Amino acid sequence: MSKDKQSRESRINEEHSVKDGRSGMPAGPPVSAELAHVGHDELAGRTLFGDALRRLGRNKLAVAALVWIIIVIIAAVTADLWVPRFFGDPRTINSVTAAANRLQGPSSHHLMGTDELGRDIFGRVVYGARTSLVVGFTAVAISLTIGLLLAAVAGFYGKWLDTIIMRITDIFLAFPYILFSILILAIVPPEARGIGPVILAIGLLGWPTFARLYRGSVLSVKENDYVDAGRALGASDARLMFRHIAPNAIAPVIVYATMSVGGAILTEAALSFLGLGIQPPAISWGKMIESGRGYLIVSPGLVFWPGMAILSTVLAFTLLGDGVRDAIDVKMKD
Amino acid sequence: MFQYISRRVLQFIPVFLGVTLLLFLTANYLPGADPIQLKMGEKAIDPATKARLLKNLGLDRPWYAQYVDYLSALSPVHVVYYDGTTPEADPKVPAGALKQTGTVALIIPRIASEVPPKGVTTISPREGMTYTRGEVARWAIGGLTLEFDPPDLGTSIYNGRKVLDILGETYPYTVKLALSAIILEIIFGIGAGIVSAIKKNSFWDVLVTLSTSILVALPVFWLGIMLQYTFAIWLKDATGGAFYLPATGASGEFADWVYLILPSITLASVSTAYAARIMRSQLLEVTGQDYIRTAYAKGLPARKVLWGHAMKNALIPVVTFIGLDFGGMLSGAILTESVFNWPGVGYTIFRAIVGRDFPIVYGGVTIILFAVMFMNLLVDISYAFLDPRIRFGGGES
Amino acid sequence: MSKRFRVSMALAMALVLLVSMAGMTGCKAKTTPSKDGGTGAGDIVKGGTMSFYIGEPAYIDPYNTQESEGTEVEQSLFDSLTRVDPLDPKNLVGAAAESWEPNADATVFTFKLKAGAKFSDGTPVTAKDFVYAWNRIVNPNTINTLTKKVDASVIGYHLAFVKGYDDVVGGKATEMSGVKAIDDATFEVTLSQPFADFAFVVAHPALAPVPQALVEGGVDYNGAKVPFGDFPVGNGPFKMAEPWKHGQYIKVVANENYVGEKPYVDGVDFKIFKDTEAAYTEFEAGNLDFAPIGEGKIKIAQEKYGVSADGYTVNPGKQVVLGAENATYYMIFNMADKDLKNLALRKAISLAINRQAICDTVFEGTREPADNILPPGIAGYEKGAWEFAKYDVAAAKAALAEAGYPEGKGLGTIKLSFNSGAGHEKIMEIVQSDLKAIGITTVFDSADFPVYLKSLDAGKFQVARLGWLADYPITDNFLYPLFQSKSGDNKSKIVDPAVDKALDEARKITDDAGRIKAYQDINKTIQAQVPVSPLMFYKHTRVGSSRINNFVWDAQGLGDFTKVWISPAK
Repeated sequence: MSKDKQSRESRINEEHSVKDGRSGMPAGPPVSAELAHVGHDELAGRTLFGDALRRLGRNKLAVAALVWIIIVIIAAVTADLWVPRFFGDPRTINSVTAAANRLQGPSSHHLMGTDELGRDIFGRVVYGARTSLVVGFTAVAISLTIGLLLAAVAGFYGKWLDTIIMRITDIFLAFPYILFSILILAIVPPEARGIGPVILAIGLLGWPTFARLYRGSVLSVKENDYVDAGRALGASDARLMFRHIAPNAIAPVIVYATMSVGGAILTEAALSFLGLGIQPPAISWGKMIESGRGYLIVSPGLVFWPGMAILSTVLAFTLLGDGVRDAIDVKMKD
Repeated sequence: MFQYISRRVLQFIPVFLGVTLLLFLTANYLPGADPIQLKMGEKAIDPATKARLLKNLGLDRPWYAQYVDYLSALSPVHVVYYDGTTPEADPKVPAGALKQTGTVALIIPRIASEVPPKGVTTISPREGMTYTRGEVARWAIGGLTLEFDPPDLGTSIYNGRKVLDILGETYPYTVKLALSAIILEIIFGIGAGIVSAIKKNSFWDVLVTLSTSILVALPVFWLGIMLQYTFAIWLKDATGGAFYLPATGASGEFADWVYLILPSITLASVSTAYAARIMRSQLLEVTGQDYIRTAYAKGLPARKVLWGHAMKNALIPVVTFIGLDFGGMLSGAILTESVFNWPGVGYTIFRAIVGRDFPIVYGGVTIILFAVMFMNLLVDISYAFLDPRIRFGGGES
Repeated sequence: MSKRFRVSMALAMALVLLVSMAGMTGCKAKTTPSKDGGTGAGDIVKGGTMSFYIGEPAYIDPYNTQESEGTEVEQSLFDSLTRVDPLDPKNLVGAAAESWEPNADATVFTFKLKAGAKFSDGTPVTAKDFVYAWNRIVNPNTINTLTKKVDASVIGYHLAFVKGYDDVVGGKATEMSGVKAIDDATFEVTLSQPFADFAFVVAHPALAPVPQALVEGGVDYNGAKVPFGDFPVGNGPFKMAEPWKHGQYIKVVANENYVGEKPYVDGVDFKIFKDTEAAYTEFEAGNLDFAPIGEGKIKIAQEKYGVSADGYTVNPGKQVVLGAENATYYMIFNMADKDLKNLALRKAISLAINRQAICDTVFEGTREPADNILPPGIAGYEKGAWEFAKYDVAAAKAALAEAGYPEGKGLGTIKLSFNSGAGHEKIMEIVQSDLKAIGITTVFDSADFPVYLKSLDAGKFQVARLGWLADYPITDNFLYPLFQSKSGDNKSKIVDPAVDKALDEARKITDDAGRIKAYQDINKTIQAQVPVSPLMFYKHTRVGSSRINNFVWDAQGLGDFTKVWISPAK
């Protein structure tokens, strides 16, 4: 009976994370029961890890996703070298020619046309990738760090510490995610506005899901014989935690983190669309969509291209995450 | 069952207090904003008027006093002690209001020093501030008086209206949108999940898997805008603009549900993909279990095994997901609402945050919290009916 | 499977067809504009209801109407003492007042009210109703009828010159000593300082009479009491048809008790929208008679609906109004700032901005580059009076060198402040690029509106933006608030005792021509110090339907609903 209840509650809790997906803010796809018990032992041995890599290599979709992510990263990193030279600097406006150059259709000089202020849309999309990638990776790193630390403590020590930490995650999860990030961004004093607070807002609110996921995983790893063996041999709590439990419980978290990068990119785009995220003159895909919205009738490219950029990049992270999950999940291998 | 429900309700209290306290703390640390100034936009208001308005709204008090005011106003019952002295006339008290010299000391009891006349009374606890008292009923018990008032969420800074009225106008739109989105989610999410699980690895399965991946990766607001583009601009002549019209205004050209089509598709998109994925994986997991194999081995027809045994168990997590998702939708969908100008609660709160109209933010979050808690409770209870292994109540464990 | 697929496809197709047919029924038969396309005078048709876009007003109770949306509704329900002629804003006409007379030094104004004027409930309008209404605006303990809570008005400043204002605001009195009802038809106002243009001030729609009994007791509607704030009863050409349906609409119908010229239309439906895009869509669907045109659609709308001849009057085929408003968009310089106290630097910035480019790109030509802080519709306007409000890169570079920063060398980063989410980003991006072109590096400092306004108040900015829409179309309403040293709206903190003195002196001049000349001289003194840099004059961007005739939407953004008439459906 108590066992049933436990699994039911943990299922609710894990599914709970999806609520963040409301208002189009998926922090990642739902964490299902299936994902929570992705093979822990499987990752322990190096050969198994190699197995997983090989399986990932055979997944054509995942490979394509990885290739696309690498292309986007390279384009973003090297943008200064080639974008201004071929397409004109998309970060400044030439006020004398702006009126003549605005809202042009695609051409060899402007692959995606120009925006309402005469800037090259393709160039802006490439620069927008910088923002998205930086936000995506750093925000997830923050969530991951906080979530793992708290969950490791909660899952390992259990009892009242566990209760307190899990109550706090409850409070965080009960709060409408996007409203809270808006509130956090509203606290930021005007002079500090920029990419930093956006990363913090997304990162600070993403941790509860990681914490829940990892806690569940730690709890189930803790039941394993080798942990008892370690304890019997006199290993310290810290050693058990960091040497034995943590590495084995991390597999589902890796999968979720990969997908979360896409989720963080979506969140950034949404916040910028609402006018609270990245502020001009910094370039963000979400903000591009927002400011091009009025021109939907005359020049739909202003909205279409940044949207496609978001879609393709986020999709790539999701597919890669799917691929990683399939690769390390023996159960699904058949 | 009753015990279970009351325990869940009690568990809600710390979450509620935690969230609202966090909210008040956050709002208090917002950098130098001047919400009163919004009443005049870019034109100056003289400092005396500003100070007066802050006082009218109780916003000149420290944040913890405001928090206590908020809880006290929210509470429908107040225990009041009247000491029997009569109030004296004061030119600073608005016409028709009684002066109250006591202070609001605790969350529930308020201490007043004058005897109010029978019926509804307007009290002025501090200069420039008034509230009504005993609107529903007033009972005297011993030396104390019990006063019943409808919960009050304060008044908007911007237009001086009751927050409860403002939310009362917007919340039905949120519910309408959430209901229609959840119906789409149930039909298409569960349907697609079942199809792809039954026909595993078929063309349909791949199609569902791929399209759910795309839906999850779609920026919701962009999807909404592109839908508008397709149906309202591209196919404008075919649709007569029906899909692009805003929900308010007194147009009455089309039936209400027409306005709901695009917003609910937009709102349902991501969740439908999740629901389909969960449905698929659950069904696959359940069909692989022993009791299903046994059922097949016993010679039960496949259709009966699937719909009679497997489905019931596979549905539990899906119902959980959809139920909680519905709770989430009841919190308002800021992006969908802002793309479609849907006058729902999410957009209202968003605008209030941007405009620093704190009473609306506090009130809106309060209502959302209650809605979400209610949905979570319903989901938990629905377990009992779906999963006979789960029984509520203490004692047996 | 494939068979089932085909069935479901067929079902889906059927659904789409059904829906699109449902949409089709909404298509209105296209009405062709009337042949003459003129004022339509002569064949005026009575009746019909005009529908008009507004955002949700904050207040329609005159004691606190301030923003454009509430004022639009309120001015249809109430008549103030005077009214600005919609098509000739330099001219005042009587509204509730038949005539008015200032004394010799412009400190006492006597208004004679129109005989037989009534509120829409039939009670007569007397001078006492003005006394009550004006005190209600100033009194800090005024109760908001909707919540029955104290909710002081923010528009008391209109009456700040009235004698006794400070006593009421300070709680020492409940009535201003300067407003008196001499008899039922004579209303006398004594000012604490001379103000020759006071008759323009009282044209403000909020300074209208209100019936005390209904304000305090509520208004009877269908057997129930409705608060005055939801159902204001006034002396204007229209009256409420039903209580304000918040977030949806406000319906007004012709007031049979109106003393002035009665409107041709039966009523006006003010339909409430959350944003302008949605309203324009409704307009295109034929459900609105007057709507704003959103960004990016102005060119298309001009071709489709034709442009109004005078910029304010809508007639079939000439439906897009693009007239100048009495409003200016300008950059302010913080004159207390260590960099911007340098006059030459302010000149350089002002000269470097390509105003035409902003108007042409962001606004598609629906704003005009500003060459004066006063817009053309104001009596004191002179073309090119602000000599640094133009685009001249060479002069800008020279000024920058004169300021001690040749090509920007030695100058730190300048902060450009503005409120986010209100469409100023694009303007500021052009400003930023233009300043970069002469060597000035800038950084954006954007914040939500309430935060931004607070930082302006606290003087925490270097260069910022503001817009100023006159309350009353007079020169004084630009120069006094913006540049008088003690004014709260003087955000650049220009302090010039000579200007202060001249502004006070100008208010005393009762001769119109002499007063305007005095203001023009003051304007020249101010502009030489470049405390602000005017960028653009606002213009209307709205469109009327092809069935409304002779509808005037004036430079203050107020519609004249008494002259409009509606072509009957064909």
